Amino acid sequence: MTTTRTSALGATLLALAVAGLSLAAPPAPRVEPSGTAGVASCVACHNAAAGDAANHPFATRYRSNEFILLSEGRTWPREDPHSAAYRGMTNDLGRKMLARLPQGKDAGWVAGNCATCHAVDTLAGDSTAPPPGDHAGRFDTLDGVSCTACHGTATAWQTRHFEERTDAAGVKSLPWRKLDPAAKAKAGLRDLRDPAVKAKLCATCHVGSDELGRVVTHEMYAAGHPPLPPFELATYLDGEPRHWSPTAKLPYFDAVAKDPGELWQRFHAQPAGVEVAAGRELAAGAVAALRAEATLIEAGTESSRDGLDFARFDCLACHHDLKTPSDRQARAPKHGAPGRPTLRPSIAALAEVVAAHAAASPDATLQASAADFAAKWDALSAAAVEKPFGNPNAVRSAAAGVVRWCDAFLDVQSRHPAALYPAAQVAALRQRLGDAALGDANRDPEAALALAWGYVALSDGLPADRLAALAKVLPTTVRARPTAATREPAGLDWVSRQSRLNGYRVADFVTPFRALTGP
Amino acid sequence: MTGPPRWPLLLWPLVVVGGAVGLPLLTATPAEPRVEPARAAGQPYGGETGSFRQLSSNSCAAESCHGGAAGAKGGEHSTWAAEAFPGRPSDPHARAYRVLFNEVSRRIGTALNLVPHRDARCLNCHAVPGTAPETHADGVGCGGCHGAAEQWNAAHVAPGWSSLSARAKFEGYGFAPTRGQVGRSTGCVGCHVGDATREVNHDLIAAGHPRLGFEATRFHFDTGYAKHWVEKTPQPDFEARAWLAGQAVTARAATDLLRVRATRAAVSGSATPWPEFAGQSCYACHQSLGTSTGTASVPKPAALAGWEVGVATSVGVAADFTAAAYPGTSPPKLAAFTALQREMAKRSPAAAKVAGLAADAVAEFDAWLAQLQVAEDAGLPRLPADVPRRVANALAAAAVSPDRAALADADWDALAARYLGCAAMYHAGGGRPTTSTWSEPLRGLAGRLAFPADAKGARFNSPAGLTEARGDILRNFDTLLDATAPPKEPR
Repeated sequence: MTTTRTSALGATLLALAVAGLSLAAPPAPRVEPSGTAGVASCVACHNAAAGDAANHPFATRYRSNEFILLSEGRTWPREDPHSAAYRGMTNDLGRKMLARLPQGKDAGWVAGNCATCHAVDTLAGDSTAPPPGDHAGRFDTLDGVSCTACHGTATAWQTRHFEERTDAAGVKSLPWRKLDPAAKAKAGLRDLRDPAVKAKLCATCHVGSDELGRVVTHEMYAAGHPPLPPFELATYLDGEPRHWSPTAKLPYFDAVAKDPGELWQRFHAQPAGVEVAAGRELAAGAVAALRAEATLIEAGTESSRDGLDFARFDCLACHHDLKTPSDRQARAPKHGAPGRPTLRPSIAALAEVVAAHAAASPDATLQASAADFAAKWDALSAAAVEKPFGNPNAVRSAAAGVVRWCDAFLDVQSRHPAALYPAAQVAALRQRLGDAALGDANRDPEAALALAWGYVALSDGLPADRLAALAKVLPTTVRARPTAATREPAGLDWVSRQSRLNGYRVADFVTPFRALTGP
Repeated sequence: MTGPPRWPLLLWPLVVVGGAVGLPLLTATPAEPRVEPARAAGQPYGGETGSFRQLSSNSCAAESCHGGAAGAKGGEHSTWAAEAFPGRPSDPHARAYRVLFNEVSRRIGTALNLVPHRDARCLNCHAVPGTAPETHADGVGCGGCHGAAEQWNAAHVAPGWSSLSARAKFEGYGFAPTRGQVGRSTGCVGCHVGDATREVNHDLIAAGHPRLGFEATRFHFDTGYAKHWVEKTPQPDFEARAWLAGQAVTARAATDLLRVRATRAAVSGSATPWPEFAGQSCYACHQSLGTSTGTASVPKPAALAGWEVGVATSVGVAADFTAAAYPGTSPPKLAAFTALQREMAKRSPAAAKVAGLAADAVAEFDAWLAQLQVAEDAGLPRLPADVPRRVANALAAAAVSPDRAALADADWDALAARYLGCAAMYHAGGGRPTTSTWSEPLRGLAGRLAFPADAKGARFNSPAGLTEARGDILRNFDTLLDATAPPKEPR
């Protein structure tokens, strides 16, 4: 006979959290009745001090430190900008935006259009977010993009994932651990080690998702929302204060490393040295970003017959001071006449390189998809300039074509068990990114930025002085980390980033970038 | 120097083609005119002169006619010529064709796949339409502004010419009247604003063509423009009325061009870009991002950037002063124009509706211009002395919010239109002591509205840094508002 019960340890920690006596004591979370999935209830257990995970009660009892860091609840609230996401709605700029937006006083609109990214309540099924504040104890908006926003709605697995089982022989175990990622995902725990899953999830906010109400419209930009920078997953992950360990550094990795099947199933990973994780992250991120944008474009044609929202177009197509001489005028438009707003070149810059690189992929599907990319993207680009702000019908079908291409590509990233991005492949991809950044694509500052980010993310040991030289022209990181005291994402500094984009000149970029890629 | 320099908006987009004037002379009866479809009595006239044949500018250039010494009477053609004054300004119209071979034109040609010196889209303004290719090198020659000379070339030296009315010369002989401001500016706007056969659209601008921005008085006194005539009308009458009539003529041209564009775009399956960005405020979109954090005014996201912001900003003041400046006229009704502006402020104006509203608005402007024309033809009395001050005061008042705490409209074109109107009124008065208190705020505005150069030597074609300058601009308009206030009654 087996018995199942919530582990006494978990229950105790949860109770402490409820009493406001969490061991980790991060900035005071506001609510937490038991049985909910707010940050405090996670922090109650995921609270090991740095370097002390081995002595954490879950380590000594369940060896949890072999699977996870156990310090997540300390790293995330103190360092991760996602924890401060809601501050973006309540700080000076956020308040001004809400004052300027005609719907800014409509709590329902704010919940459905702002909080959807800045305070993500997954309990309501990902599709809506509550108005700011405390919501019947379920969720505290102050937690911003909290644990469940990425890891999945926890109602079904929160207690289950530390349920202890004692078998007939009296041996204790955690049955949850035995489940494979697919089974856990079925229960609601997102399989974030799958690069395609991760990339698509990040892109729902960092690019947007019409379905989830995560769309930064031109109206929001005009009211003051900082421009979303190009999405390059590997760079974004590099900039993230990691509350997780690189898979290969987990003790458990070594335990299963001899069984590639198990390794793939558990971690979507290859044995050490077989694949460069950043390669697959970059590829998946590039294509997921394009997919998200194409999905927004497709949805945009349905919500308005007047053409797409301005936000779907290259910001810099219009938003540049007019100057002579101008790199912009030296560009020959591929479609339409000069001066027609095009889609953001940066959206496809990385995907284009990733697609071309896939022509030599070990996977036949990727190989085949490489040849298709240009036609799909070309059709969408052409439809978008056929009329000012796009010919809706042509845009819709072309965008659907791009989404299908991306889905097929991402499916391989999730599914292909053998190495897609071994070191030699990544070296070739890196080379292509460097070449593209030195080619015509660099006439667009955002495309140059995305390509440079990709190149840097796939590089090891770039000389700091050369990186610093490039950073004067374009930022080499997404952002600095927030200050611990305020949790404000102080490092965001989008004005500095934007001013570099505004003052961008091809020649200024080429010199330091060429130096970076040189010997 | 006490006043602001003449038209110190150094980087106001220089435009290439336009109107100039000449001096019909002599006496007695000209030859029998060809009969063109008559315009209804009272209709404004000027500009296009119908189907008369164009002659080469050489027809005017005989030494005994207009080819005398440059800068002297009888030397109009010589003064106009590009080589008139080496190293000094001449008439840009004479260079209109030559610029089609310069680097900018080559770049435009490459971008749009056209050969500038052979393409009608270029030649219709950079040469005189209807002239033979071998005379294109004249650029905008005499006939471009004075009318196709087939009939009047001989007639204007025949006896009786000077006794003909301006309307008779125009309708009967194709001679474009340039003494009156309605006819003169009407000649300019065909190119400097555009019409059904001539337009600078956004495709062309994006390829490198300078944007257009016509304001009649500024163009008259451009420091880079050598006039080949002496103005007969004294100040302040000339400049104050040139400004007022210029507003009406420019607004009419812009509205009619919009009508043409909308009519084309309303046809199903039309490839005409709609909305046409060239009619919208350039700098509402063309501004760098991230420099205006926290200072942006209420966004107008549901709307396109303003349509024809410059002239739409000042035409109302011009309308208000019509009766004061042109005795016997009444203020125009501009209801359709107002409705048109409302439609054009929508995110996606309906082309067919715009075409209809624009046609109605053009009729309103024509009625207004007809009144001005009749008043001009009847002979205008001297301008009441306080009109320039009152116009400047109205423009300054409209530039600021009722509580004077903010700018009414921070769009560059709106600000520039108000500045230019005030500056025209200042210069109309000759910068005399009564208006010297205007000088400083006008200089301040000119400095703040001028397009800068950046640290790397690039020349801006847009008002970079305008957001930061708003406070100064507000202060200057505020000062100007006080400086132009009615003088206090002596006790």
